[in-house]
Amino acid sequence: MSSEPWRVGVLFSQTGVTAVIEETQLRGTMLAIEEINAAGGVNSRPIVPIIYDPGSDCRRFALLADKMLAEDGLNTIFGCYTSSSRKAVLPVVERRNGLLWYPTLYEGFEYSPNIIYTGAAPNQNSVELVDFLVENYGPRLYLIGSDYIYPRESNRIIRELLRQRCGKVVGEHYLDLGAKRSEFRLLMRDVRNVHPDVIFSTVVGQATAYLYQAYADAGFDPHDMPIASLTTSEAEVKLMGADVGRGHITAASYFQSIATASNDAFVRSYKKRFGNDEPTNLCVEAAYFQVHVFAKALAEVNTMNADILRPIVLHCEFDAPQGHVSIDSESSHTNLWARLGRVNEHGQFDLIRESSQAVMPDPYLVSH
Amino acid sequence: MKSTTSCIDLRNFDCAVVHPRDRDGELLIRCVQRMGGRVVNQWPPGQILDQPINVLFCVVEPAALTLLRLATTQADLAVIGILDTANSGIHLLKITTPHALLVRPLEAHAIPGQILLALHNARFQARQQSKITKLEDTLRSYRKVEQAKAILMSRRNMGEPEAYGYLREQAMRRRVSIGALATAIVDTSEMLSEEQVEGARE
Repeated sequence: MSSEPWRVGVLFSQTGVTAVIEETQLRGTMLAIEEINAAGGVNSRPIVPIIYDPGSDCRRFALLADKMLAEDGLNTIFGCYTSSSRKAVLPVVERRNGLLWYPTLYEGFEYSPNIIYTGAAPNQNSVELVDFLVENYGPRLYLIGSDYIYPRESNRIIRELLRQRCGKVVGEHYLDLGAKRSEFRLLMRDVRNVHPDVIFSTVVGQATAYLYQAYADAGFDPHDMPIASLTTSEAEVKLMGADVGRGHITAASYFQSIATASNDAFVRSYKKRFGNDEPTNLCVEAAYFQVHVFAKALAEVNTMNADILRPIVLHCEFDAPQGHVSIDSESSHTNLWARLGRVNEHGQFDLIRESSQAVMPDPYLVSH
Repeated sequence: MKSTTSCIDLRNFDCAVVHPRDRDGELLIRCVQRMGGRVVNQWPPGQILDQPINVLFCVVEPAALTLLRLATTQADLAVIGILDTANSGIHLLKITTPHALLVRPLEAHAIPGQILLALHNARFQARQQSKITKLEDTLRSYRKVEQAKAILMSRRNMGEPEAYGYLREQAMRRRVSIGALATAIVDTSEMLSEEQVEGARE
């Protein structure tokens, strides 16, 4: 029997505009790999990560993915945060028949036989969130996003969902991923004039803190007009300060505050490994459980060959920190829990709503 | 480390060589056998292959045209054309588009590379094809869900979100895909309205 390690690619930015959140995904990945290896590896062979830093640059994502699959002899890559980087890597993994595990919520409307999607599709977060906002705050939404694929596509869906609920988009602005603090301050003036019921944010990366801070500086009140988001997690709240984030709303499959036994264990080992003041978040959690799903499937087939591994992955189930999850064989996406949370004074999320079971992914929103 | 030769391990591969058993034919058959492949020889070309295979080596000549064209429409079959420098078979390449090409007189060292290319290209095409099929299915179920929604809205006096909700719920309860449920609703509804028309005629 071979004792050669299972070599896997890990592709998350450690530098550049989205490094803050991608580094947490890197940590989630590493934690899972270390756990698996500590328990004896997969069929007595350890998993060895080959890690590159694409520097938040989509072209480097594509080049490094190609290097991993073509030169380094790897078949499996855990990686990508932004949709732009995933779109850049997609043709590479399809051409080389690799398997990309993508642990980030995204805008849906995609299917690749070479990608396993473990983050939420719009029907698993946006639908619930829009329902809640319209019921509790009103139908007038003001959309602020970073300027790339995900915010524009996600907002197209939000607009559609709003229309079905007789709601209205009363403002829509996109700022560069590297936008400055002052640009958000300027935007708050328009918000004051329009006075929407809710600000809907798809701002990602460092700029997230600027948005929420500009909101706080403008003296707005989250009880009256909250910022709602699909991407503002514990990591971003830590960056902006709990006092700034308090009262705002996020829809996600996972919050650190979820009370499950497997989440308790996960949070404890994450803090033990990376420090007591490091919160977990939805992206860490997906990055973490997807490695375990991979290991489970790998143990069964004992080969990294994508053609053999993938059919097994497509039926895998796992007790993730968010609850029991399973990969949907139809769509390559994951059955995930739908939750809404509100930031409290500790920078954690108080649960507002949660689904009674994992929600089936519907990436093309066929049923909406 | 995975070496490149393991990529052209032809054990578990059934290969057909559609070529006369002359010097080139013998060389090719021996080469494929050395890589572990099971080989059948077929000559003259005929219209179809006698048995299911994974890799086809076939002369690019008018007599083999039907066979070649059939082969290139079969998903996951790697087709390697064999072209004669002396004849004008090159215009036939346009029609048959094999996954890789060998040129006569054959040279043993040129064969593995072409097999590698052909296998890669055929598999990539098959994967892309399966992706397209899946996306087309999604597109179809989109249309069906829209139709089913319209039926529910008019027959049951439902609003749009309500109709969608009903479809989702029923699909979940019956453990079928939403597309399958919508198709059932549309088909039943069509059948019922046909019966109504026939009833009115009677």
